[in-house]
Amino acid sequence: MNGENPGREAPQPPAGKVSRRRVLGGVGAVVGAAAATVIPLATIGLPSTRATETPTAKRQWGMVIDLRLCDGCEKCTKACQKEHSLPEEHTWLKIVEVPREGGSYFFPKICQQCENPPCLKVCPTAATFKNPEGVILVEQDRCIGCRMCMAACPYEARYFNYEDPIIPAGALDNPMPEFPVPQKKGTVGKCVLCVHNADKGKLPFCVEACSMDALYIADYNSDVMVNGSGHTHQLSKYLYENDAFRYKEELNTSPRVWYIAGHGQDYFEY
Amino acid sequence: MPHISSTLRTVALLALLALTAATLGIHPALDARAQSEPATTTLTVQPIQHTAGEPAILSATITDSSGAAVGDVPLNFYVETDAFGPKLMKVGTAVTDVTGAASVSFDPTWEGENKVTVIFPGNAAYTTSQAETLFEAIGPIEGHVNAEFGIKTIRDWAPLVAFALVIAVWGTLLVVLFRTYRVMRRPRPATEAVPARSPRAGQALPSDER
Amino acid sequence: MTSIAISHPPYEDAALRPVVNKAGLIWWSIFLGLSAVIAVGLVAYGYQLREGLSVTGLSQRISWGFYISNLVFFIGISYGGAITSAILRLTNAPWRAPLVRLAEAMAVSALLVGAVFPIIDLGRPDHMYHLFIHGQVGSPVLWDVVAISTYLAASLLFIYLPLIPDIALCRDRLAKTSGALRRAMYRVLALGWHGSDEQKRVLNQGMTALAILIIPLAVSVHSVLAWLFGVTVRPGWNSTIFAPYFVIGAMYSGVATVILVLAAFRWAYKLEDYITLKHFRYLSYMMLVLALAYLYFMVSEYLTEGYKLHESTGALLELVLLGKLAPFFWLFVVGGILLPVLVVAVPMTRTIPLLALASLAVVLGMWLKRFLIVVPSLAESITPATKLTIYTPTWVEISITVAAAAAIPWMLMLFFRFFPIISVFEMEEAAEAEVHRREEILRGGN
Repeated sequence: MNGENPGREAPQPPAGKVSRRRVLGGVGAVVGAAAATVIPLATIGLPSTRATETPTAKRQWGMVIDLRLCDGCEKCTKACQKEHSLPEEHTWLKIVEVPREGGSYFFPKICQQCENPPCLKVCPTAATFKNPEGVILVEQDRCIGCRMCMAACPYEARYFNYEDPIIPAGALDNPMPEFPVPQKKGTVGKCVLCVHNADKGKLPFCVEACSMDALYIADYNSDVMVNGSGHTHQLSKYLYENDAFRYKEELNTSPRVWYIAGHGQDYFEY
Repeated sequence: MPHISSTLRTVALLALLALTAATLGIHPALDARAQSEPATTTLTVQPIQHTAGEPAILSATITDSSGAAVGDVPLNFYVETDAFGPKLMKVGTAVTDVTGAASVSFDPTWEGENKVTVIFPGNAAYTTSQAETLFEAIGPIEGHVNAEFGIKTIRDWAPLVAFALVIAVWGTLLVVLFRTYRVMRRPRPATEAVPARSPRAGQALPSDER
Repeated sequence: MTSIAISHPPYEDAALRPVVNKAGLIWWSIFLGLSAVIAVGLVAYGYQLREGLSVTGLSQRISWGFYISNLVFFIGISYGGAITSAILRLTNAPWRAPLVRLAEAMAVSALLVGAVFPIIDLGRPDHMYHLFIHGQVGSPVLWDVVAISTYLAASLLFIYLPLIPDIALCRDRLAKTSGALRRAMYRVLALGWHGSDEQKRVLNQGMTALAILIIPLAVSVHSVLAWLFGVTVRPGWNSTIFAPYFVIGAMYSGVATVILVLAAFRWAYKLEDYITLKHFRYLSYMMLVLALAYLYFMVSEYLTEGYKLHESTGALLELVLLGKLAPFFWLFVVGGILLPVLVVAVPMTRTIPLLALASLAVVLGMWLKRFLIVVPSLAESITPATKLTIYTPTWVEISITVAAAAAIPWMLMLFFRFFPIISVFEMEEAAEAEVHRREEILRGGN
């Protein structure tokens, strides 16, 4: 035996006989390949994960915002921020003053609760998911803070927690996706359409706070829309009769928030 | 013929007129009193039969206190919803015809009991009135249809294809590694007499410019 | 051991010189300097881990900044390895032989540095395991993780395979002059190589397979990086050609980095005999073609989106071409594309120092260009809510960026202390191939 390779003495199998090591190696390779295929598939999950399931609950929430009535008082924004202990730069509902000929009008910009949401498509951990009522929620425990959803949202409706929020004394520290309070540093937050309130039969904080009757909560399934003063309309009829439109409709995100135009603006001027 | 005096003729004519007026009821004083009080009305809602897949027809008739039909007045139709407490949701308005009847078409959005309320808002002549009825909406009733989330075939197959590709790549890497490892561990066969270095290795590479 | 005493080829001595010689004052000063820079970066990251991303200049509008630009940039420059080792191997270009070790080592270090940046950018890196147990197949971030890790594995294997004979060389030739630990490392990593025909055959097969595999892998890595941006609807990102745009940009910056690294290490380790002007010329011709290709992609992008001015594209183009960021953009065009093209095109300026300078300009320019792709599309709002947001990077982001840049030469310097700087195996291969080629020509009677 030549001593070329120090310390090497691999026994060769007799010609024509398959060695036990080879068989074991082959079996190991096959098992390894199978495991490598099956285990990640099982954990990563095939297409219908929780993130993309069709919502099937009795209520299918949406909103209607009447631009004819909004006066820019921002009571809605402040109510939302107060109830969710949000820092000032987290405007889950933001009142935008849009200038136009002869003045300006106010446009409440809120998460559109899209039925085809870009934020949900790009989330790598399904931290952003659609609850059975069609509302897009964020599970803070799963959020890794990559902010891909913020890049993808066409409505700039998502906010990143760069800091820990200031929690009022005596507040509960039990966040859940339906009521993500307090927000966690390093995660993303957005309007939750106050589904935590809906369960108790209460209106969202912004809808309640609006003193101009401009904000309505809508249930697509029972075709009803209600505002803070209790004014109730049949959703489909009201939208049809009042020339309602959706923000950035051409993107095919199918938003669940409808706007009633009022100041002669074009639907696509944004 | 004896001449009836003109005075007697005028008085008779006036009496005749007054009698006619009284009969016809065109007495100004009497009518004024009647207009200061709107007449009461009664609203009746027809029972509603709903069949699956069809809209329900909600009809109501309005009559006044004497049972006469009140035509040409608007009736508002509501369905009670329980979104955030019981609320009346207006589902239509129709103007009554000469028979005092009006109807609207309504697509029920949930199966089971639907409570319909019809309200006549009232006007100068008539007081407001309302009536209710219940009907059973027969299913199946399709709820809100969500927008299609991407193209289903691609959503189903693309991840598997991508995954297969990734596995194929990793598999190739592992095969190369394994083969190399195995051949390295094998000692050189005794028959081979190749020196550790190729004899040509000492030659310089083809001419290089500086 | 070997029964035949042959003289060692000169390139072998040159390749082993940094391994054999003790590190001198210059080496130590540079190495310690780089270490200090990297240490500052590590301190900055530690600070960021404790305080969160609020220590950066990021905001609600500009949610991606330096870290994502760096991710794209560093993964991009690793393409130099793919081109020099893989593409030139498959096209049988013999002049690549002295370059491949340096290029591949640079590629692996750049990849390692680039792969860390998504982690640095995360708001909650401690929750990263969710990516592996709940990974969503439709997410570009997950594609990124899979693509980068696969490419990294392939690159490590690709540098390791031709390294095996070289480690065996170290094991055999340096046995007497190495410490026990080093000897053990060489022995283990050499796997029992003894240069037999069968071993060479298997090794070559493996290298060819990897060379073929690594090209689509490299393309896929930068394509998925491009799709991080391309799947959104933001002006400037909402483009169908983003993937090839990024790939060409990566190749461009990669070749330039190879030239830069070659120039630096050639000067430092006195490899003038083996890495010659010819190599720099050939590489810079490739760089020239890639520069023009990149310019073409840029023009196509700006022309098509500038013609339509969809949504807020007008504001974006004004910002980048004419407004606050215009000086940086035109600096890139002139210094990062036009000047290097001129330097390469004009024969008189085609000297090694000038080519190295041109490559440096390309590398710096491409970093700037990556920044100009990532940040302006976020700075210009896509709703009427806000207008222009300013991004001011903090010392944390700057130190981490500089540390990442320093980490590449640091890793290379360390690597070549242990392994030959020129791939002796591939030099032999190229020499044998050349001799065979000449014999063929002579036999063929041409």
